[in-house]
Amino acid sequence: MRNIPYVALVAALLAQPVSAVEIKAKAAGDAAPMMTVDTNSFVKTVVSANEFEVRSSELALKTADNAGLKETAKMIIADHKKAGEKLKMLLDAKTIEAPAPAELAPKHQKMMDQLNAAKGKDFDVLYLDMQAQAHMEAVGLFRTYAGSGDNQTIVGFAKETLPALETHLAHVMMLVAKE
Amino acid sequence: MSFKLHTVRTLGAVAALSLIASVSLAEQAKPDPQMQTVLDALNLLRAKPFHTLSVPDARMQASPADAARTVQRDRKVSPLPEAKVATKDFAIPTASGALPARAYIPEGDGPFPVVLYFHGGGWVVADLNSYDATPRALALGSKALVISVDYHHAPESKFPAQHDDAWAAYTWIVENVHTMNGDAKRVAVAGESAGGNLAANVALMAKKKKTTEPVYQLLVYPIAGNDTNTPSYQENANALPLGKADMEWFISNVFTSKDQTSDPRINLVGRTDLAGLPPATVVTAQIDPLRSEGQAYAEKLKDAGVKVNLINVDGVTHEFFGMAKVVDKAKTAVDAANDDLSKAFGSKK
Repeated sequence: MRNIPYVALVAALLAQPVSAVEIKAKAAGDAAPMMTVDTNSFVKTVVSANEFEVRSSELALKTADNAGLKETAKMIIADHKKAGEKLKMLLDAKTIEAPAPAELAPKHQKMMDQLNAAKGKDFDVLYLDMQAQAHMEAVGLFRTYAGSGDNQTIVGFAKETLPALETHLAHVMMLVAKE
Repeated sequence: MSFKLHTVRTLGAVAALSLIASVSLAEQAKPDPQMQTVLDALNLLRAKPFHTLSVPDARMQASPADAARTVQRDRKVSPLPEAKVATKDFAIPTASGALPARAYIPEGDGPFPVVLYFHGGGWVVADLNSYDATPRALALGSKALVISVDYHHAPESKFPAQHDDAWAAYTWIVENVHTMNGDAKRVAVAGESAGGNLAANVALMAKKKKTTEPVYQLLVYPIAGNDTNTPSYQENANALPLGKADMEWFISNVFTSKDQTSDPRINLVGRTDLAGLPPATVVTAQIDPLRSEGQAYAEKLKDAGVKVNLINVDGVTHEFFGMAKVVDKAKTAVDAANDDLSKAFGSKK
């Protein structure tokens, strides 16, 4: 090292990227919110997404072949029913208007229609593909709302529900990897 | 009186003529049948033009990616092999907070070449999930470790927050991607739409700062100018899923004033410092207001001596690139981009 001429050393240092400090990658959950999600938008989307998870997974228990998939579906039903009831209770207490869960958002309704029309192996593939998408979207939405929401009660709900959503996503991705 | 009348008539005739001229210039091409199927699905999912919506509603409604997935599932096209690409979510630490990121990990031992990818959405809507298809397809096709990184959205964070985030993400990748089995000497930048602008800016900034430059740029219908009256804007003023009023809606949300759009980070086609940039693939779509500026930027790059593969695709709209599972022309464009990336990575090995 000592033999390296000073000029060469300076040149080497200058060629380094702007900040030479190496900072380790952070966990996904430590990301800052990239936008603000307002409480009404959060609730409206979550009520539909949650209802989709429950209905599609109940259909999976009746229609699917794969045992691992059915186990995951059972877990999804239990956790999402619990989350749905918790959210409804909080909304009632806060007198925030909750959208009627019977009415799914257009894209969730379309996915239900497609699942209802599928049979056998086609159903399993479709169900897993949709659960992967729905849970990636849910995790992203819950994280962003948890970091940017303006209603602390609902923010608490988002934080409390996140770990279950992450677990579901991990299970679904494991099943997809086995396909 | 008669003179006045005559003037009015002449003016009327001129107005009529210019109307005819603008009508003939403003003729929008017809989407090809596969593209039309996706647009129909988007309509069935009740998506509305951005400029008619509030920002929260625009972010929550069904996206063109949702429409493509709908068609894929209707047609029973298998989600494999794309769905099996391994992913890992993490966050990139920066001075303005940690940015959400997703690594798409190719099969094999590595160290892998790297693609840093920026999603589209006019810097206002969309996220890592709604632009999941392209990074997935690039990881498969170019056997690269693709890192899709998010950035602060407008209007909460105005321009140039997005450009600052993109640059911070790039410097972090160059310094740290070896810890993720990536090869920091082979980093390409890629992006769609507003993200294509970010990718182009990273390449420009790296050159200006004389730091490690990306080995390649993949710019898919990038925002590359600030003229909203180019031929493609006129032709596609009412196009879906992106028209002129939608672009104006994005502009009003991203910038504190319209004057800011003359910034050299936005008006790339006005720049004179393009010589020495890394080679590029520029993809444009015929039915897209951004077509003319993308083509103009590609030509400017070529004039400056940069090697450019300009791919213009007829009969498709903005957002088509992520629809390779259901639009054959998208598949062809994605394959071409992967070929270009693979060659660039191969030559730097």
